[in-house]
Amino acid sequence: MHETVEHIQLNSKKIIDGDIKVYFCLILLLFVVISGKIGVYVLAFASFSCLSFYAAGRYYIKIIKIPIYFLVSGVIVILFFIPGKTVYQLYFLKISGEGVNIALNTALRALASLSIMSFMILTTTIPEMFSAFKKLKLPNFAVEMSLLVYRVIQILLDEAARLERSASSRLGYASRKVFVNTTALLSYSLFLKSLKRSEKLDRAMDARCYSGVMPILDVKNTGIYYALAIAVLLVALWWFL
Amino acid sequence: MIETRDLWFSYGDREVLKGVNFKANRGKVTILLGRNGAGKTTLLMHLNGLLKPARGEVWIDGIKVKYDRKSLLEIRKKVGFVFQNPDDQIIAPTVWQDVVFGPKNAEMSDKFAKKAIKYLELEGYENRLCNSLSGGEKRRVVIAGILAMNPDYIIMDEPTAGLDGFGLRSVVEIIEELKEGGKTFVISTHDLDFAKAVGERFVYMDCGKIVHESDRIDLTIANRYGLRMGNVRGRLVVVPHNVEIPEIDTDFIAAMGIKAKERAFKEGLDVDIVDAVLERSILRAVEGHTVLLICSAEMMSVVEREAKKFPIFFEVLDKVSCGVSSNKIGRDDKGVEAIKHGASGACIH
Repeated sequence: MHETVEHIQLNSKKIIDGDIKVYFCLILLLFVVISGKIGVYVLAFASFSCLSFYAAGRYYIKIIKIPIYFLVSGVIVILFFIPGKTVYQLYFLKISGEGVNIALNTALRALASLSIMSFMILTTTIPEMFSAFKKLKLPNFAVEMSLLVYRVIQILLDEAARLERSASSRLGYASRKVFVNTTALLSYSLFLKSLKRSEKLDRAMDARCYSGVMPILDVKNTGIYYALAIAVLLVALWWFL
Repeated sequence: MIETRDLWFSYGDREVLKGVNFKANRGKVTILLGRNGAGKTTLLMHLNGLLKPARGEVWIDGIKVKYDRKSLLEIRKKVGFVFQNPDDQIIAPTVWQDVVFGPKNAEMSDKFAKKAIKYLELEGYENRLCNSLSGGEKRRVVIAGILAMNPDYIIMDEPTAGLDGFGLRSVVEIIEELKEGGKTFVISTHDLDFAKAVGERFVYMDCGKIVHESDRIDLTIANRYGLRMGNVRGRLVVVPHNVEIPEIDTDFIAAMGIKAKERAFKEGLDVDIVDAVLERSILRAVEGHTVLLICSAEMMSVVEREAKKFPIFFEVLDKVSCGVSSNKIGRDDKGVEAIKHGASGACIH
C-alpha cells in the first residue's frame, strides 16, 4: 500500500515527543548550521540518523535519499572547481586542498541538517508543529489559516485521487492527446470542487458557532532527558573542539 | 419543540420548500422521509439557522428564531447539525481539534468533548489525522463534535449514508442511548431499517411539502415517496368474500374461512392456499410474491392486525370498481395529503 508522510508520522516511534521536539529540532538545526565544526556535524548526523531510523525505519532512507542526490552533485562541483593547491589530478580535472575542505564541510553540514529535518518530518504532524508555534505566540490568524489550508489540502488531495482513479478506470490516460485532455478536465473539476468545498466548510464552521478560534493540539512532552543529553553533547563537542 | 410555520425557501428560481409546517417534539426521534430533492436537507438546515427562510418562521422551544449573530450562536448551541458527508463537517486536521472546535468557539468548557470522545470510543484517536480515519470513525468524530456542545436537539442528515451493517448498528445504538438521555432528534433518511429502528414519528416530504405524517411506517406510502425498501417486495392483497373479486396478476390465491372458500369455488378460482392460510399467505408475501387473500368479512380485522406486523405491502380492496394500481393522492381532514385508492375510495391501510 502507498504510504503517505502523514501515515509515517502517525505510526513512527517517538522517543522525543510534544512541543519540546519541535523546539529541540529547530534550535539544534540552527546551532549545527552555525557551529562550523566537523565533529558537531558528524555527531548530529549520527544521533539524528539513529533517532530517525528508530522512528521510521526504511522511510528515513527513502526520505533522505532524494536530497542526497542533489548534495552529491553539488559536492562534486565544489570538489573539482574550487581553485587552490592541487592535491590530486585526474587528466584535466584537478582537486585542490581547499576544495576538499569546503566539499567535506558542506557535505557534513548538509547531512547533519538533513538528518535533523528528516527526524522532525518523520515524527511531527503539521498540527503538532503549529501547536508548538502557537505556544511561541505565533498570531492566531496565522495558525488558523495554516490549519484550515492544511485541512483543505487534505480534502483536495482525496478528491484529486478519486478523480484520478475515475479517469484511469475509463482509459483517461490511454494516449498523449487524451492525457492532456483528461488532465485539463481534472484540473477544472478540482477547481469547481474546491469552490463547492469552501462553501461547505464555511457552513460547517457556522453550524458550530465559529468565532475565529482554531483549537490546537496538546501533545504531552516526552523524552526531555534524551533531548537534553543530545544537546549537551553537541554543545560540549563544539566547546572542546 | 422545534416547529416551522409556513416555511418557504428557494434556490434562485427553484422553490424547494413550499409552505412547510413541521413539528418535532422534545425527547422524540422524528424521521424525515422522502426522495432525493424532496427538500429534506433544506428543511433541516433551517432548523439550525444555517438557512434563512424566504417566508415563514422557525420556532425552537417556543422562541421565534432571529437571524442576528448573537441569536444564531444561541440556536446553534441548542441545535447541533450532523452533515450527510462527514468530510463536509470535519474542519480541523486532527480528531481532538475537530471535537473541541465547537466548544472553543462557543466559549464552553471541553468537559462534554472529553465525555463525547469517551462515549464514542474515540479514546486514543485524539492526535490522529482525520483523513486517516475510516468512514465509520469519521461519522463518530462528527457526532462527537456535536455532542461536545451538549445540544438539546440533534439534527442528522442521512447519518447512515455509506455505512456498513456495523456502522448502522453503531449509529442506532448511539441514537437510542442519547434519546434515553433526553436528546431530541430530527433525522432525514432513505433507509427503512434505520428509520424503523430509531423512529417514533415519521414525516414524509415530497416536492417541498409535507405529504404525510404518522407514528409508524406505512410501507405503501414509504414506497411511494422514495424510501429504500430493502427486502420488502411482496404484496398481500386482501378482499372480503362479499365483494367482487378483482382481476389482478397474482402468484398465489388464498381463501380463508368457509365463506371465502365457497366464494372462490363459486368464482371458479384455483385456490393455492387453503390451510394455515394467514401464515402461509404472509410467508409468500415476505418471499416477494403477490398473494390475493379472499377472506370472510368477519375476519378482516384479524388479518389486518397480523399482516401489518410483517414487512410486506398490505392492501385491502373492499370495493372492486377501483383497480389496485389506480392510486391517487387525496387530502385528509388535517390538510395532509394521504394516499387513497380509486374514485370509489377503497383505502390502502
